[in-house]
Amino acid sequence: MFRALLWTQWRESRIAVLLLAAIALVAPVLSMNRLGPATEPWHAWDLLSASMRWSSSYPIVALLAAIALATGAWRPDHRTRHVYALSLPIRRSRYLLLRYAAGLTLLLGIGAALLAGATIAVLRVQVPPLLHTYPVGLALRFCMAGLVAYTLLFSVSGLTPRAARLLAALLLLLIIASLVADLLGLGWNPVERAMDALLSPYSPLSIFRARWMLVDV
Amino acid sequence: MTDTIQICGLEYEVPGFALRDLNLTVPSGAVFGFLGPNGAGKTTTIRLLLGLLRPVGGSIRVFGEEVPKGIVSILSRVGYVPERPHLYPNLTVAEALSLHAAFHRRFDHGLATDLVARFTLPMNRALSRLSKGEMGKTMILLALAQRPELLVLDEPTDGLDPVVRREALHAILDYVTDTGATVLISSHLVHELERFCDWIGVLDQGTIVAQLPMQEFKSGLKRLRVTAGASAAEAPFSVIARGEAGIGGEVWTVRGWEPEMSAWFGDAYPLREVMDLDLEEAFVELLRSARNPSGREA
Repeated sequence: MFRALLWTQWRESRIAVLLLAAIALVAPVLSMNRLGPATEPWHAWDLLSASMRWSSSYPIVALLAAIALATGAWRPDHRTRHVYALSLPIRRSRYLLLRYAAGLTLLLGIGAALLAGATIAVLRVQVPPLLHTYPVGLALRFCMAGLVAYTLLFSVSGLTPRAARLLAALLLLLIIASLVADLLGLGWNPVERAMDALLSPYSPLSIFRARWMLVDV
Repeated sequence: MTDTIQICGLEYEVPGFALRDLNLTVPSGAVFGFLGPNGAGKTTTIRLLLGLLRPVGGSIRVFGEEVPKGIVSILSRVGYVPERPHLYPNLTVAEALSLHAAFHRRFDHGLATDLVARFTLPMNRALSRLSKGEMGKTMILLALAQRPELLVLDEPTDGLDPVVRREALHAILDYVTDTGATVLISSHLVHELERFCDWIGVLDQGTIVAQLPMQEFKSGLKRLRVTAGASAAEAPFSVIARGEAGIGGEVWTVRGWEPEMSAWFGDAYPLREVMDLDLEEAFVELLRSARNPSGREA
């Protein structure tokens, strides 16, 4: 059953998965390209700044992968009004888990591509003393961030149209409240507060604010 | 004979539509035609039967198991062809077969291969690119290949051309002949059901109007040409509709007719002719009488 659902998920999101896996593979390699020889005095600085420059691309790829896989997970069922899925002889909770796991497997595939790219990248550079490479750490962070975002988006995209409308209305209300607060000069912006809460150190989404460095001290 | 489907006092309501105290029994091994005009509630009843919708009252039992409690076990024994295509459109026919087989333990790959050849289906074409007829045949193929004990077919041939319709119905009939499976087939194409159903249930405005063996349904309904002036009071049959027919004549549509009842008319107002009604006429008359019960004795 899992293989069959994995195949439907692959058919649904294969273009996005292949594209994102290619980016995940190539980005770390490109980040370590065009560096001067290891004998140069500024080599360590170059490594760190290159690593810093590219660090924001990894969470973006993780988020895009989560969006592509979460929406792709439910798209065939939404299109067919869930009639096929509901007429299968399987408990709904199990079906949900299988669908979730199928998307997660493809996400891990993109994570593996990142690990491969990061490993190739660090093998091609000479790292001066005091600096360290983190290909596994970067890939793990990518997978964790992807997992958090995918889980959240999988839940949202699996909502019934009515629940989705309610959520959209809530978001709209938040934005309107924020605009009104700005106009009245209250000094209190609900959208900012919500974003702060979502990305606070206590939130699982805070992983997106972490240091995504391939080479670091 | 046991019953494969037992629906008792089923209640369901959404804005603008309701099923009220619906009772339906489908005997095992029967080919049960579920008739009704558009919007009567056939699809809703089927969706309730398969646990796709939740009723607000009443009970549904399939193979003796309660819906929705035993739905997983029930669905493993039911082949379902919905009114509209429900398969994932980006899969090919071959992929749809693999997906379906993964969820149905009794999936018969041999039968599937035979049906693919019989229906001449393009295995590597995406379902979204199939013609309406090919899509209909694919859905029937999947439902049959899982070797179900109950086939639930919701307008399976609606919109198909006569050749495809015949192919599909023959495949279903062959399967039923081989396996003795029970079939619940909903349709508003009355002639189609007349050919192969042995039971019939008629649904109108969310209520079951009649359910009985096809033979009984057809034989009891007659159109009588009688002499004008005859009274239908105390007749041993019920008069569903009554109208004038030429000079000195009337046409009665009756239910519960038996040949020996001709004598009831006597010599004063003799019975001139007894005509058979085909299923479509019987269906229309039945609906008319159900919607206007007071008009039975016009």
